[in-house]
Parts: sequence; C-alpha cells; structure tokens
Amino acid sequence: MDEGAERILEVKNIMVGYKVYEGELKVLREVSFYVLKGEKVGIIGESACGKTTAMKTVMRILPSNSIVWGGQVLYKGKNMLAMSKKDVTSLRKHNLSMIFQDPSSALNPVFKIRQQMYDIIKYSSDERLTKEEIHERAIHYLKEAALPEVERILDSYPFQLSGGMKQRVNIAMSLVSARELLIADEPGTALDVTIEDQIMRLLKTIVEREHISIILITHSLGVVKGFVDRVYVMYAGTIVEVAPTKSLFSNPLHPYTRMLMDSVPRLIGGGVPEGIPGVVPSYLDPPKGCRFITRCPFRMDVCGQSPPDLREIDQGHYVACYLYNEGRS
Amino acid sequence: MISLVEYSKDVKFSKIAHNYGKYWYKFRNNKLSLLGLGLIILFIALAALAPWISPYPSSAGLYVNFANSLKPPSLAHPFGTDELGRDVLTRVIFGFRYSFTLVGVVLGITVIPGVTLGLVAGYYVKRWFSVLIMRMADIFVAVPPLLLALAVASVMRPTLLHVMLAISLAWWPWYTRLVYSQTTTIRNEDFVRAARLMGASPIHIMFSEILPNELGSILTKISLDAGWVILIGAALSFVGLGAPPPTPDLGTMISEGSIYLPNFWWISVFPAIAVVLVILAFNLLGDGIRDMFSSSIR
Amino acid sequence: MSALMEISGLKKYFKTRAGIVKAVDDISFEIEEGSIMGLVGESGSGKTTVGNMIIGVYRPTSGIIKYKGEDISKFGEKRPKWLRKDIQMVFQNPASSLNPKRTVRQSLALPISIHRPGAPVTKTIYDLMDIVDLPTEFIDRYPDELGGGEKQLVAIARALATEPTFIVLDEPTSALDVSIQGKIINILMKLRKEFGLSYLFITHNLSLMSNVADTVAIMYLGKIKEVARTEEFFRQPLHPYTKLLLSSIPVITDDEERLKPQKIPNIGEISGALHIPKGCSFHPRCPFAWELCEDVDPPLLDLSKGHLCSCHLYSSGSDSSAAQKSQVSE
Repeated sequence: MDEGAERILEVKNIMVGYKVYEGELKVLREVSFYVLKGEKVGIIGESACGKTTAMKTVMRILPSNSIVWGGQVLYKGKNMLAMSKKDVTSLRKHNLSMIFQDPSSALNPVFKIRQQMYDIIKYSSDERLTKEEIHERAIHYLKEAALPEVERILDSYPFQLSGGMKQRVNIAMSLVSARELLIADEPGTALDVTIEDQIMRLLKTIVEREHISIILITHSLGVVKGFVDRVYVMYAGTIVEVAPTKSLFSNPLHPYTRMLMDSVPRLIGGGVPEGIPGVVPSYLDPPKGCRFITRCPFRMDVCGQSPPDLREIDQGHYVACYLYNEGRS
Repeated sequence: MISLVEYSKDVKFSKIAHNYGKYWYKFRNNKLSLLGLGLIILFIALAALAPWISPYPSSAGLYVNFANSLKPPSLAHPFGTDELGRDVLTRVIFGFRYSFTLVGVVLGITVIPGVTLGLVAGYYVKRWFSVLIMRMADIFVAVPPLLLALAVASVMRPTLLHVMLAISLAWWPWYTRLVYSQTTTIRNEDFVRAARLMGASPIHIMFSEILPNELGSILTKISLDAGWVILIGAALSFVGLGAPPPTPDLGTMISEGSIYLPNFWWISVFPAIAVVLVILAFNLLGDGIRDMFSSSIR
Repeated sequence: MSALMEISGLKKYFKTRAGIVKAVDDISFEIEEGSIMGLVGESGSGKTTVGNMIIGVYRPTSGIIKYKGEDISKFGEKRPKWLRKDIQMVFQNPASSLNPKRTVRQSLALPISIHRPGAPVTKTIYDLMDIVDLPTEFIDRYPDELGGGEKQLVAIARALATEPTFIVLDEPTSALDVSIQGKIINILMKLRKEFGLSYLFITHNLSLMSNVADTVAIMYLGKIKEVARTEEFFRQPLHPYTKLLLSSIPVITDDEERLKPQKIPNIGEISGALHIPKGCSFHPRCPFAWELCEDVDPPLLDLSKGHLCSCHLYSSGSDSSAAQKSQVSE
C-alpha cells in the first residue's frame, strides 16, 4: 500500500467504556487503527471484544451510559469526537456509511423499498432533485448492488425480500452516502454461507471499482482472508496484532491469533479443535498488563505488569506481546 | 471442605441482594421516579395516619360549625374551611384514605383474575374458551367505566362498595388483554417450547415460565392504573355516584365546592391539586418500575 | 440389528394463507445406535423441521418415524413420558432456550422433577454441572450472567438431566464464538462416548460437520440431495449443490482451499418455499441443469455403497452424453 496515501479515518488511542450497576466497564484500552484511501481493512474479534463499541465511537452512536476517557477519531485530519452535530451529520450524508449484521434492521418494515431509497437519496443530496432524478438514482444504486428486477424490488416491502436481497438493498442505500468510507459490521454473518459468499464478492467488486475505503468487522477469519488488505486483531478491547493479510495468515505472531486460527475446524478433518481455554476477562476489573494473560500459555511475569506496546516485527506486521519485545524499560 | 448445602445458602443470599440492588439501581437512575416514589410513600403515610395527624379529625365526619365556615387559608386552617365549617386540610388527608382504599380494593379484585384469564387465553390460543374470554374482555372494554358505573348505580344504591364493584367490572379486561398479547408471543419462545417438550404441566408453564417474564409490564400497569382508578373514582363522586356525604372524598369535595368558585376557591382547588399530585406520583412511579424491568444495555 | 431411528417417507406440509409450504418432502434415512448423523442445509432446507418432527413439535403430514422399532410419528405433541425422557433437544440460540427469569438451578430442576422423581435434586444438579464442566457456583446465576458458551452448556446439561438416549442438536454452536465451539463440541463427543448417546447434528457448517458426523445428509428445499459416510462425502462430493456449498466456505489454509471444488458459479438464491420449482428443486441455481431437470425430480439413488445422490447427472436412465459434457473435471 502506498505509504504516502491519505488516511481517510484514523482512530488514535481511544479509551471507551460503560457505566453499569456493578461499576465501570473499561472496554477499549488505547485502541488505534487507520484506513487509507481505497484500502480494505479488517477488524477480527470475537464477541464482546469491543469491536462494536469501537465502531459506535467512530460513528458517534454510543449509548447514554457510555464513557469516553480519551482519544481521537480523525476523519481526514479532523477530530470527529470534537465536531459539532452539524458537521458529523454532513459526514454521514456525504462521506461515510455503515452496513449492519441484521439485514432487516436498517429497513423500516412498514415502508416500501421505494420510499426508503427515495428518502435516503433526497436526504443526502444538498441540491433539490426532481422526482425523476430521484427515481433514476434509486435505480442506479440498486443496479450497482446487482439486484435483478429493480422495479419489483422498489415496490416490495422488506418482509417480501430474502436476507440476501435485503442486504443488497442495504448496500445500495449505503452507496448513496458512502463515497469515501464504508463500515461493514458482520455483513454476512446472518446469511447463508452461499449468499454470504455472493454478498462479499459484490462488496469487494464495488469498493475496488469505486475506490471506497472499507472497514470490515467480523469474527470469521475465512471471510477476512478473502477480502481485506490489512487486518487488525482485537482481543478484550485491545489491538493485539496488525498485519497485511498474507503476512498474518502465513505467520501469525500473537498467541491469541495463533490459538484463534487453530480453533477453526478444518475442512480436511483432523478432529474438533479444543479452542481457547478460559474466558474473556471481566471489563469491570481488567488485567493491568496484557489482557490475554488469563488464557495465554506463554505468560511471563512481565506480562502482568504493564500493557505491551505494538511493535513492528516485519514489514507492516505489528504485534503487542512481550514474547517479541525486549521488555519495556 | 465446606458442605455443599451451606455454601449454596451463602451464595444464594448475596446473590439475592445483588439482584435487588440491580433493580434499585435502574429505578433510581431517573430522578423523577424517585420523586414519584417519595410522594406515594408520603401520601400513603398520610392516609394511614390520618386520624392522628390531621389537625381537626372531627371535620372528617358529621360536623357543622357555621361560625367558622368559608374561612380562607390561614395559619389555623392551612387549606381554609368549607361551607359547613369543616377543615379542608383534614378532609383532604382523609380523602387520600378513601382514594387509596378504592385503589387497593379495585386492583386487588381485578389483577389476579384478569392476569390469570389472560394467561389461560394466551397460552391456549384458538381454543373455544380462549376466544370466549377475549370476546368477553372486548365487551367490557367497549363500555366506558363511567357509563358502567352509572348503570350499576341506577340499579343499586350508590355506595362505596357498589362504586368499587362497578369500576372493577370495567377494569379486569385490560389486564387480560395485556397478559394475553404478551403470552401469545412468549409461548413461542424456545424456553417455553423446551419446557413443553419436557412434559411440564400447563400450570407450571403458565405461572412459572411465562408469567415471570410479564411481571414488569403488569407491575408498571398497576402503578399507572392506580392513578386512573383515583381519577375515575373522583369523576364518579363528582357526578354524585360516590360515597354518600359526609364522607370526605376528593371528587365530592371538588363537586360540592364548585358552586363557591371563584370567591371561595380553596374548597375545590386544594382537593383538585391533591388529585393531580397523586395521579402524577403514580405515573412517575410507573415510569420507574418500567425502567427497573427494562433490559440494560450491557 | 435395526437402527435406533428409522425415518421413511417423511413429509411435512404447512397450510398457509398463501399456499402450501412443503417444508419436508419425502425424506428417508437411518441413524445407528451410538452414531452421529449430520444434517446439512441452508435456511429453508427443512432440516430444522425434520428435527422438530423427531422431537415432537410437529406431527408429520405423512411418513413414519420409527424409534427403537416403534412408530412414534403418531404421537405428535402428546408423547408418552418415556419418549420425552428418551429424546431430547438442544436449541440453536442459547439466549432464548433458557428462561431469562429462571436461575440455572431452577431450569435444571424442572426435568429432574418431572422425569426422575426420586432423585435428590440439588445433588443431581451438581453432578450435571460437573459433567458439562461448569463451576457449581453458577447454579444461582441467571442466564444473562452467563457467557454464550456457558449458556449452551446449561442447555446441554438440561437435555442430559432426563438421562436420554437420543439428542437432536439444532445448530448447537452456530451462535457461539469459534474459540468456544471446540469446547462445546468436545464435551458433546465425550458425553456420547460416556453415555452411549446418539445424535442428530443439524448445522450449516460443513467444516464442523466433517469432523463430527459419521454420516452426512444434505438437504435442499425439503429434499435430501446427497447422503454419504463423512469421509466419502468430502472426498468425493457428487451433487452440484454440495459442490456449491463447499466452494462457498471461507477457509483459512491453502490446503483447504485446494480441497474446495473450484469455479462453481454461485448464482441466484434459494426459491421461497412456496414456489418450489418443478422438477429438481435446485435446477434454477444449477450450472449443469438441462431440460430434464426442469421436468423430472431426480430420484435418490445409491451410487456406491451407501453414497446416495439425487441428481440427473448420475441417474442411470438419463442421457449419459449430456451428463458427461456438463460434468466438471476435478
């Protein structure tokens, strides 16, 4: 990837959590990542690892009991966390958009697709459009999402469409405003595997053709491998490894990454892997040092004292683990 | 090695404390709910202690003192006196007594049968008795409580008991409907199916599996209903269908005092404010109860 | 020795206002005692309905379910107690299969009180928790205080509480993280050995299936398209749908990538169950379909020692030259 390329989105050291009855959940600890223009970045993590919290922080849709202790979210250099509501809205209208896991969630069940497409097109355009223009654009975006029989789709209600079709409609709607950055949160997880395959191929084609940057959040290693250029591995609210896709899969460094890859049952057989013993630590009182310490077979004393930094071990391949450090001085 | 039985007892107790603590945390999140709770506690205390804390207890009964009548609010009579010389403050406090009694009886009679019918109808959907129950509920819902009370009053003497009966008749179907609609959804959940497949008895499924999931909305409704019952009771009294004089009843007081407006305003206005406050308090309390049972974000 | 469970000609049609939904349309298979039968399919395939009929949620429209030699399909939901005890189910979504207002203790006590009336309840619950490797302190927790994997283990413990012989596992790990799946599956395998259980394992995850099941059957729109012993199934997948499924799986190693059938076009979607295509139900998506496929539903034929396939490419009576032409080289 061109090093001089512009960083569309850069998240720097965000610390985010929630206030609950039992205390404070300190979820994200110094999470940083970035996406270059036209780049496809993947964030791999299992449930409760904080990836959704990170995305909500970026999109500024955190719930009312959330706490942001620090950090910045820079969109083309400007801090989104400090922006006015008006500026954030403008970004959402013109530059970035999000697709969610549940294909039905972004679609209002009591309106036809037509109405919803029209609304989005009208809303995200600064100029006044005629009815014909709106209709033309609606058709255009639906076609871009490879939907057949566009008129029939426009006249349908969401419940009349299959999961795959709904997700394509979501993609079409997000293309209306996501001219620069698209965040896809587990877009294929709720779909059949054959349909997920179609959707991921479609997404790839579109973002590559339009040079749209994309952040793909998923728990599926296989999906990430076939799709993104660079991968961030998240565990318990921290980034443990970053690498170009090829590098990550040919040479996984962090023990969590390795154990995660080992947990996936192989098509060629070999029995069912044991998985990773133990459980994710509680965010109420997370480990002071490396958060993987409770489950790591290679843990050392230094791991519990302070969090390991992300160090570059190979070209663009970073890992946060004392196995690869000489120790912090 | 600690005996297993003892260990589990300890854990159980602290767990129970933890669970109630969680409910309280969610409740006190909203300051207004705390206000509602505070007011309700205050009013109930007033009602319970009425004979001992009201300044002129005799005003609540048969009492006439024309020399003292129609006196405006003063230090001796903070709410003034009415046309018969009775202390309005005392009568308002006793009025709470009547109101809360009404609430207690009406909800006491209607909630349990209403909920049970709703559970049965919702669980055994499509059976003949479920349909029968729901159509009966429809009928009673269609008649406004006021008209129903008037109908009852025209047949029997308008006493406190009959008023409560009339309101109860109009009230039970709302619980049935609430529980019915929730039950029809919950019965399709996996855990109900699992219990059915296990061979659990319908009684167990209805009351131990389904009902606990509906408690939140039932309790919220009870709180909001309390306000409504008081309002309807006051409305009935206002048109003369309430408890007979000289019973201190907020609606009656508003009604009887209305002919003295606007010059001797305190006779109607203070009871009216009391009605408004108590209904508001129940509403705020209801909001808090609803918050208590809503699932938290994490 | 006859099989533990014999399904023949099983059908389940649902009458809806929009028409008849043929969820399951003539299914037959056998499950040997102590074995694991895998049922694979995507949404709309009917695999969950098959499981539901075995467990007694639905009564079959027609067909026979023979369990231990006895026809149990006539019972429907009103099963005798011994049958409820014997056949249990673990549901897909652990969050909804446990009552959120009941503690683990209460959820586990229910089957014990119904099916093992004499047993000491608390001790039995502790034993069950041990068997599924859960700390006994958890018994007073509510489901929302447990992790996904832990909830599923409670669901498994609940199924085991009646001392069953046969368990229907409906996507038991699909809702869980991959790092926990292994633990759950390994416990299930351990339990099978320890208690001599038999499983019907329903899932859409072929990678998991290849490591778990003894026999695999693939379903599409209510019909079985292919059945084989696991090694045979993955070594030589025959049906075009099987090949499509295999080629869509996102794998992470190059070895697996090489194993996948290559260049299978992925077009179209599963038709709604109301409009099942005439002839072979898969033909609108099949890259090898020809005229015969649009008219005639191919029979399920035994092609070699228990490897069954329902596809005209392999029917002995079909036009073999057409079959040779459209067959892809492996």
